Amino acid sequence: MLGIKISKNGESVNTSDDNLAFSSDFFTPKIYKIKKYTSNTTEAHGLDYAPMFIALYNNALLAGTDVYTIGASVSVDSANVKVFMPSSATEVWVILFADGIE
Amino acid sequence: MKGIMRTVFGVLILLLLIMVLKCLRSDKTENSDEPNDYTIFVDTGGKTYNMPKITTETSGSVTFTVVGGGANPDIHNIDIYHGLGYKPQVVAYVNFYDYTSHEWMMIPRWTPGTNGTYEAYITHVDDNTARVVLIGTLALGSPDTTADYKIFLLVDPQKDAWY
Repeated sequence: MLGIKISKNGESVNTSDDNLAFSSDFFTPKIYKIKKYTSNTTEAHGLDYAPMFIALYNNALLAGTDVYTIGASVSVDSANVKVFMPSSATEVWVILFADGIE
Repeated sequence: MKGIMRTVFGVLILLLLIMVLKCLRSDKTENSDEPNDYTIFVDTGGKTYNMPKITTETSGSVTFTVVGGGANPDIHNIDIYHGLGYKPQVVAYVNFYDYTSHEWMMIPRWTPGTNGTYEAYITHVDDNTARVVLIGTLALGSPDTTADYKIFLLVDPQKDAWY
């Protein structure tokens, strides 16, 4: 069984899995696209499956325009990214991964 | 011959195990010291960044029904035993069919539907079991509704990992 393990500087690759910088034993998400939205938007993402994603938004009313929190009203299907702006947000950032949910 | 090949492979693997690796992003044309310019960044200068490592994927469905006289939560716990001995990072998605036909939303999430409201969040039973909680609160007389879930469990801890 061949594979690659990368440890942090000064540490052995025989360290515990959670301490490795990289291990081909595990699946690693690959960032496909990062995009900012400032209004409700439905947009084709260009993949033919629903991709993993992380969505962040700022809350201008409560936290400030440069403070971001997770959980914006974003959904994906096999064709589109759909962004529904939270009422107090001025921008939503969507990090799409090339890896599918399904 | 096989013995020689095994030895060669062994040496190669040993080299792989101890090597330093930096993979430049395709849209970058020059080397730099900025980790943001790389897809993998392991540097002899001591700068090394752990990449998220997914260890298991779990998927399934739950069905929500009206509880009592309606407007009461129907709670489904999805427990994932991992045995890591610490609380790992969890990334999870849910598809509430009462919200829309087939759209995945990131957990945590609250959303209204046609027949009630829905929420989902991530927690941990203990250091060896992660839990995703799916809740549907249906109005009296509503039909059963379904939700699909997909849970990615990482081997990386959710805290005490500020490397």
